[in-house]
Amino acid sequence: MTGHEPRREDARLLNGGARYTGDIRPDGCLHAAFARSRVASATAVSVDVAAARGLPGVVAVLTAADLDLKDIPATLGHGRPAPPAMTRPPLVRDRIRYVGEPLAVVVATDPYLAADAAALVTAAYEPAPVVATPAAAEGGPPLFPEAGSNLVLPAVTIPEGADPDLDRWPVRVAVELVSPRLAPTPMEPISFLAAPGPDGRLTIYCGHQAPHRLKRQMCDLVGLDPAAVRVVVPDVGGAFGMKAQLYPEYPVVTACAVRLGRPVAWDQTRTEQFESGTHGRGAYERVELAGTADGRIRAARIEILGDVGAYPHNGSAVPLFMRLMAQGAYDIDEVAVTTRIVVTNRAPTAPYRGAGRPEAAYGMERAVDAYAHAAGLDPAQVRLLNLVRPDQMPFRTHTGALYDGGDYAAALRMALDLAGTGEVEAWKAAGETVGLGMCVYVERSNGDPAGTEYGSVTVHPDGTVVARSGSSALGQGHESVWSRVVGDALRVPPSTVRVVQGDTDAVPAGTGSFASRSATVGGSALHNCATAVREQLRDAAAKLLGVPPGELAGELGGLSVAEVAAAVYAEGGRLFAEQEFASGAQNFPYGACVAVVAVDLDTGLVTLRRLVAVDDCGVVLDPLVVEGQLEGSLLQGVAQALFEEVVYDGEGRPLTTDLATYTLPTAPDAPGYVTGRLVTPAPSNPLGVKGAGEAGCIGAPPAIVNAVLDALRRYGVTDLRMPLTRPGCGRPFRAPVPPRCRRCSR
Amino acid sequence: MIPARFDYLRPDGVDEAVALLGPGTRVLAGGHSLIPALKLRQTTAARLVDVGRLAALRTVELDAGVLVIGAAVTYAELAAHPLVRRHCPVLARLGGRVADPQVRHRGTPAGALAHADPAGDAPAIALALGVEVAVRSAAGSRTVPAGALFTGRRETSLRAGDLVTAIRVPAHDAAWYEKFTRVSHMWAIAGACAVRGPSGVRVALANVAATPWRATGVEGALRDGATPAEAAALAADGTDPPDDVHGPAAYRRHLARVVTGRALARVTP
Repeated sequence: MTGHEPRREDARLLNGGARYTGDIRPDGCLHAAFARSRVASATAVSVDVAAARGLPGVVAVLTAADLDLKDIPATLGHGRPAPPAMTRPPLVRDRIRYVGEPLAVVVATDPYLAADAAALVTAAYEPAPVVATPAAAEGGPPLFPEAGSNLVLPAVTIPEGADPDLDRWPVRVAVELVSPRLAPTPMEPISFLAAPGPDGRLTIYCGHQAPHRLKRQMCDLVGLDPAAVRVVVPDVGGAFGMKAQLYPEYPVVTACAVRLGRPVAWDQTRTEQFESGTHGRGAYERVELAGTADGRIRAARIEILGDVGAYPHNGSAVPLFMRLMAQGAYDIDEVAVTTRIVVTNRAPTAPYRGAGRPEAAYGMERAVDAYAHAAGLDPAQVRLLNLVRPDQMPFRTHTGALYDGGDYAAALRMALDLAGTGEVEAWKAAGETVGLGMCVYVERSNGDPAGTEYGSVTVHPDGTVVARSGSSALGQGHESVWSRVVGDALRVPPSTVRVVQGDTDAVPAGTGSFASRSATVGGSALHNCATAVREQLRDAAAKLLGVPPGELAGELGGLSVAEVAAAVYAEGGRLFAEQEFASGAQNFPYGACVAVVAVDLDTGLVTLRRLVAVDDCGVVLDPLVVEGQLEGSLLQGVAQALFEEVVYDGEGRPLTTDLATYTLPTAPDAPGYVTGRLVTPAPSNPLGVKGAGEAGCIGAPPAIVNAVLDALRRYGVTDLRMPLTRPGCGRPFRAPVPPRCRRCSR
Repeated sequence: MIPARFDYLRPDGVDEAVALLGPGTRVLAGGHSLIPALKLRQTTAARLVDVGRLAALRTVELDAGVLVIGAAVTYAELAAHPLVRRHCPVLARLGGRVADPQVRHRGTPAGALAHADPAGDAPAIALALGVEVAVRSAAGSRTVPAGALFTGRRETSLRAGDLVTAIRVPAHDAAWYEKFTRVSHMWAIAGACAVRGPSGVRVALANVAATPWRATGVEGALRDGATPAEAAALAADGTDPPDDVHGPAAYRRHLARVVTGRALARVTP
């Protein structure tokens, strides 16, 4: 089940043959554009659309009062309710809560006219106080006065009642850290098309991570009959969590199409993506560790403050994911994690690649380095002393995670070997400002253990195979991997397997592609179905040949799949299996990253000389796809550590609204990667796979920041804030400080 | 991300292009500055005159020691052209590095001079090289020295009917452009170009003022015998750098000194 063949979809994707939502424009298609708030907080909002309605080519300009849409519920993720007053109107009713919030929708005959008309919409309002930071949220003016406060989740400590006494240990450290907000920035921003058909059904096209969920949400919010709605996911240009969210634009555009009886498309601009597409991270953390002078960490007290922006929805789950993984890769006697979640006058957050695990790993791995330095010990030795050991598996953390196997110390040793620590010491001795930093992380994949994924496998009378999956691709290569999983289990060439995905009419059920769950549940469902159909084929072949199934010579007794299939269907039978598979458990990939950096003391620029990643995601279904996932995720981790941050000013105005202001690295900025792999099969699914999608962005940031601290420690630098290459010198608004600025003494 | 309405014209020759110019009309070459500005509605134009394919503007030649680069020559063509590589390696190097591959294959240095973004690389380099810009208009031909071209933030002394036809680069002994940026495709947070020629060293800075900035204090100090390090310490004097999401003004002033020092080290023996 391994190979290095190129991905089946690449020829199409690389040669202009892909078909994205933006390529699908039915005859008579109308175009939506949104007028948006330019202030972060206001009350008594009144929207004036008269001028926009008067523009030739404008078909409709609609406000909340014109569209009878249900509010989007407030949640803590996974269906857990948040304060009910924190629901979100799809269009602003009387209160604005962030810059970019939609005020009105314009529908026009072409996208240029729609944008022109949207610019004519004005809003009158009373300015309201702005909660510009999470620190200001608690005790600040409430965004939802009926809720009484800005707390989505008041301080809750797990395990309940835990209160470790850190003072009884000789070594105690505390670090306070920020994982700044990031913009996911897929190559393709969001496109959404709702097209009523002549049969009275509505087809929605959208690059979405969970088409069946999107269908349910549109039926619920707009009031549609599920039998009359189809959701199609065409090719998708990246998602990273941003495309799993329920955007207010979706029910609005859907309602416009239904009301006007014509197709309506909305293509998010890049600025809209930065302003009002969801942001990731946005976590504030304090980690205290205590333990022995010889390096054994015995107690941890961790506080998490999560900023979910203006409306609590899926983003509220992220601080809880962070809480689950807060103990990291370590065996610590006592752990207490206190979590608070607040709303702020900023764009709503959502899970973004890693979702809670990068934040958790960053906190613990920075703190472990601080511990090592406080104890005067080598950071690698402290880790090796405290890592959960293979003989402790399965290992239950104080936060409730059940780690399912692996050799964490082996991953760290392999990563250090690959990094060439001796050479780094030689560079240091030669006076270079270089540093080495490390991170050991545990990942949590398949977030909802009870979550199912649909799969089916059909062998047609001509011997061709169709695999249907409820998990559809966002660019990861499902077509290649699914055809191989099915082909291998059926013992047929993968090229004979056609994959059907991303269509709620063609796939009866589905959960979606997120939380690194696709291989675990989607892949397992297809594997089980293909295995069952293989048994059907063998039984039929044995019957045809008149031998017991166990005595077939070779796979089908010399018969071809097509011969057996033809015979089965001729007799009125069929070759088919379907399953909604649930793994029943989360799985826990893990690994280690080691970064070697050089710091330019004159400018603060950090250069990665080496970035080593060793990952164990269980059995590897497709080495090329898994390596691609690791390297892509590593670059997102590098970006978080060094470059990216969504910046707001004190009035809640976003300052990073396009690719000229948001510092996104591209290919020339990627370091060379050195990767290594361990394989510990997951016990909770038949393929033995674990999530492969998120490792790099979890491991890279702490390794890089620890490396820069290692380089600068001799200059007295003990704390840094991501992203590290933000300036600068003298009076930096954040580090790294060129510690002995040779030309700038002021 | 959607521009307001404009007309698009593509003349067949320079004379026809000049005849089409006037108030409300903008010249389009590579379009990698103008089109984004139109899309972001930072600027508008009643019509665009596309000169990007005019053969007469796509030549590179040596004219009595002066390198003459046609206005529609792209960065990528600069990077590959033997005359540019030989006679002005600082521009050839820029052609291979500025922004990203899309910009390099469409964008033109002449267009960048007309766009006059003080954060741009080409304007600072042109100022340090002492280039002259060849201009055609209904009134005839003239040349404008780079020092007289940049009048304000994205403002030049060019008039509505003017068409830039070429950049004239005088001979020089050595030149280096040192750019500080966090990721490869971005504008300089600060940049410095140092050029050593027959009359001494000229230094110009990117993104430290409303226009590309000639560091005359540095040049004077070098003339008076200062070391490159001593001279570089004066690089920020008189500048008024932007204070934005990429860095506070104080950081840019510091960087101006750093990049000037590094550029000088490359051109001084």
